[in-house]
Amino acid sequence: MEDNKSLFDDLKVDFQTGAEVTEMSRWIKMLGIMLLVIPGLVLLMFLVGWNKMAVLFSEGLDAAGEGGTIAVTMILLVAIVVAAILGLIAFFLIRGGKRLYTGIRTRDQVMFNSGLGDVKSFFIIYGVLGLLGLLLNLISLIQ
Amino acid sequence: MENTTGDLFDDELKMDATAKNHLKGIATWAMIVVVTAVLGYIVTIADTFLSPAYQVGRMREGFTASVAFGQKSMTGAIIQTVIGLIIHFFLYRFCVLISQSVRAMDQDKTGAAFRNLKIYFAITGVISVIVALAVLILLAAMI
Repeated sequence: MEDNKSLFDDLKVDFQTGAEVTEMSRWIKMLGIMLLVIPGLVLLMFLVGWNKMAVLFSEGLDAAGEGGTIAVTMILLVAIVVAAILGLIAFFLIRGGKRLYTGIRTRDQVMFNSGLGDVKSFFIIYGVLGLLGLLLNLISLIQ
Repeated sequence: MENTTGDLFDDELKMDATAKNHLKGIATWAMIVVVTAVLGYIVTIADTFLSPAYQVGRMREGFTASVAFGQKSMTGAIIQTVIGLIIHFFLYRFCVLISQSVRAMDQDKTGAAFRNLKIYFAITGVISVIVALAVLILLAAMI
């Protein structure tokens, strides 16, 4: 009786759960793609409006002198870090979505598990960023 | 007998130990995301109430530009908070249901948990499309 319980009471990916996970994997992939598209569009916007920004930057640099160069370097560094983090999140989302979809379709347990692992990695990054964001928000509220 | 059982259930996806471990990790980090997000919204609302623009708006009489600016930022913060709370409610439901499902081996709750996570990713995906369209419109306006 005990053996039967352990054999058959385990959670399964039944038809209903499979359908939900399949649909979810599509949304996950789309979100991952959008996380690549949006920074791309923003970058394009920066390139298109570069002339206006170059004027602003040069005015700022003239006014701020040494400090202006540091400010521009800081902005570029922040942009690179943000792009890298978004790229990493998008990578986990797209790969996770693909793996979950393939895992469900081909009934591949290893693929399904690694898809869940990718989703977990996404939430870990998101959680750490959330904690950092909250900390910065609190600091700005106190100041 | 063992072979027969193996043939019957080998192609069925299960929530094995690895999958359960990943699900527990997802639930933990997703809960961290929910808590930080909710605290972030509280800080945002508090920050908006305490911000100089809002205070100036409240102190002056009549419908001055600063009043309009103060009300606008307050409206934006409230809209952001309401949308954020709706999105994170689904993530919270996922965390609770998946934890209960793994603990109690409840198949129905597994499906319900993934349904909530699907809704969370769907809403986030739709919002990301809206953001991309807004950036695209800005880009078109710049050209």
